[in-house]
Amino acid sequence: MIMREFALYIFHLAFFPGFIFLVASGMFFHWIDRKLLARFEGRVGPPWYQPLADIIKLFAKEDILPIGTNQLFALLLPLTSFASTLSAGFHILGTLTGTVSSFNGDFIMLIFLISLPSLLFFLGGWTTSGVYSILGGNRSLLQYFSYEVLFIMAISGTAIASGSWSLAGIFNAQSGSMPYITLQIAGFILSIAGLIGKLKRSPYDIPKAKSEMVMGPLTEYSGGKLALWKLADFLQTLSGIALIVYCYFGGLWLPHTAIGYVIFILLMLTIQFILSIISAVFTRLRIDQLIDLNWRILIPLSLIHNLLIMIL
Amino acid sequence: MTICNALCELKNISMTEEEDLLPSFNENQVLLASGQLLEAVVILLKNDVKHLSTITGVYQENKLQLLYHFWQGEGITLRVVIDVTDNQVDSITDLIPGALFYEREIVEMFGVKIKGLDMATRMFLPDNWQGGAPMRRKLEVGSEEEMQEIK
Amino acid sequence: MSRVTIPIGPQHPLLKEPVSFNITLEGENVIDSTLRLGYVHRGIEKLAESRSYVKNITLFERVCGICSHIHTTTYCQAVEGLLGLEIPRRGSYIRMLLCELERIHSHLLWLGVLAKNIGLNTVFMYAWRDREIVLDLMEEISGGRVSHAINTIGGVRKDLSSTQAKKILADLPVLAARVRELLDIVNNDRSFKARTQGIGYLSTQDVYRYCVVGPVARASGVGVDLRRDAPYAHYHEFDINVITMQEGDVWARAIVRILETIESIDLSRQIVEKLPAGDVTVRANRKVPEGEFVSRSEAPRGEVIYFVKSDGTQTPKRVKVRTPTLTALITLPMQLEGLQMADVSAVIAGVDLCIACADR
Repeated sequence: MIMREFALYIFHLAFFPGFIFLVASGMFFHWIDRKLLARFEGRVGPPWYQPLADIIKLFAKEDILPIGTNQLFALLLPLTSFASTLSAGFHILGTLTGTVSSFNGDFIMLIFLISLPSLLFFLGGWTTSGVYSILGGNRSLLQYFSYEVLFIMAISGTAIASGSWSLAGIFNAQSGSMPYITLQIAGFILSIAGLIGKLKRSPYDIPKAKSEMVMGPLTEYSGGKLALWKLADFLQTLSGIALIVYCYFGGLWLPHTAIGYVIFILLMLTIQFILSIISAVFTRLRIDQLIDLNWRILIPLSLIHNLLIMIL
Repeated sequence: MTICNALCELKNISMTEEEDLLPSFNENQVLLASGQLLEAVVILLKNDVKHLSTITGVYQENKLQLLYHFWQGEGITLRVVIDVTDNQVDSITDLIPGALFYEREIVEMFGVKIKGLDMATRMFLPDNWQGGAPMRRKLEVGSEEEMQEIK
Repeated sequence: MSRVTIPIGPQHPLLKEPVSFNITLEGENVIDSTLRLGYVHRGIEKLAESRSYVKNITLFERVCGICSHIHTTTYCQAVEGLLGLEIPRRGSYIRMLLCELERIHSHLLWLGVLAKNIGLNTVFMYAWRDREIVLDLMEEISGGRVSHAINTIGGVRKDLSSTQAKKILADLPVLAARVRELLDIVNNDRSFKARTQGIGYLSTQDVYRYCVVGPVARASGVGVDLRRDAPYAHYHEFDINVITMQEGDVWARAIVRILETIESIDLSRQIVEKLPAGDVTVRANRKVPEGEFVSRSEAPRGEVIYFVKSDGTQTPKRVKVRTPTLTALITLPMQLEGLQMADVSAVIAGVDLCIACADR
């Protein structure tokens, strides 16, 4: 019995909904994003195996870093980013499929795990000593402070309304009545904006903008470490989108059923579609316009929104 | 009109007697001594001829001709002949700041010195170029020297 | 606040060609910048002195990739002026047609580069897709998409057949409709305007002081266009509309260039419709009589001036080229002062650098 449980445990961790499934889903969503962007721009777009081919190619490349970088940190930072987003994704998808049970406070844990890579991104630029890396890292830190706050405040609206800090509690509060998307449409829009800032997608992609700071903090990384950063990016996107779908569309699917999974995946694809459209249509904002937009408009809106939720 | 006025005024100060020795040219031209350059540019600016197209250097038989091509509806060229070894030409960047790059190019390519122009860094040639003034060398097509360059 | 010096170039994703800016930042603002050219200096002027006049056409085509035809046109005009030749009207019209098509090509390319530098990849892809129409037309006419080799001393080497003319007349309205869509984006898109308005300002005074030419000067209120003010080829037979704006920033330059593109499309259509019959070339002597000639023309980036001095033999004594990018480069450190780091990419793209032209 114990052996069987142990085997099942390893199966869940490694395959479904663990490591292999998460990495494959992350690559799938990244491919959808690139294909959509290409079609919006009038191009054809890459084939379905492109993200996999990129990651495999990166692992085969030479891995060199400039003199003066701390080699241990340069390895630990991408590894930790990957590990934290992997854990976040595992928890969300596990709660969906029933392999992991949601505990009180896991909402906050998830927010922490999803936002950890952004902080490590800045540190990654700091440890590789190069002009582009350090300057890019400074700007990414500014963006991190602003848009993490926005995301947390916006998505906490659902937690406040449901009265609990666990995913299961948020879900249960919606399954009886209407999903939160209808009541908290403003919060939904604000958390999408926060997510775009967190994921450093256009129009908030200054840290990664090639025409400004070459690659920002990731300029000096190559080979396996760059592959790990990219994988962390894929999984951050996946976890962020899954969290938003969980919190705002709670009552729409029934857990542990096939139709429920299909609806969940369709909702995630819809949000990915929205993110890609926004990337295609807007220019990259300057750092001051970005901070201005955030602190003057978006955060006050989310404050008012949360206050209204608490009152009503 | 402006060019005609400028031309008339310039003819008064130019070396008109030597103009017949100049080659045929399709625009108005005035031959000046090197010391009269600034005066001529002042006259041009006063007559509203502001646009300097470029400064050409022509190296012929140990003498360097500098041609200042101006344009305002019509073209007019100021011609100054100097010896390469003396630096007798003033810089006109105080009057026309846009002449800076053209003068720097003349200094680099022909090896003259222009008074009042500080050449802190090179513009076209590499920083460690030792070969002298490029435009003053004689190269025949297919010669040994040209082939050496390509190697 | 500490000062940091960022090297932009010679190799940088922002630049199409190697040029080196060293930008000194204090905090987020630019306080100083230095410029270093010469990475693509090939000594073309000196090389021209040891090659015959006809071989030099091939040489001067390679001064620049995007404005190759206008360079050979201006050079051939200078040599034809020395020879006292008058080229046939049909040949002159074909030269003008390719000049205008090249102008369209250059402006569309520039719009894509500007959009890419400010992060609007979609406009970059759209502009370069529309550029394919022009490149196909140029390939129809001359056999080459970017490097045409159609000029010779005395006229052009290839004639325009009636099928080619019909194809040009059919494709141009399609292109015009698409360029109008791009104009709509530049005029009305809020995020585009937020990134390009108010930066890289050049006043009318500075345009006169630094002798700036081209769309950069026209966007600051100085309405000089050599096709109208000093007509070459047969431009005096056409009505050229010179477009000026008063704002003087990067957005004004974008508007000027797109409106010029629309104007060029219309002009190309007129040229093809009014194409006269006749020869396209006239025989020219190999030995050019002694003399000097100055020839100017309006390239996509401004005034190109060629000075050719001949001493009676088969090779020229001196050929001097001045390309318009050099005039814009003088003003670039001035434009960059006080800007934020993010605007540097937009300003550098807005000036439309063609470093191969500037370095020769």
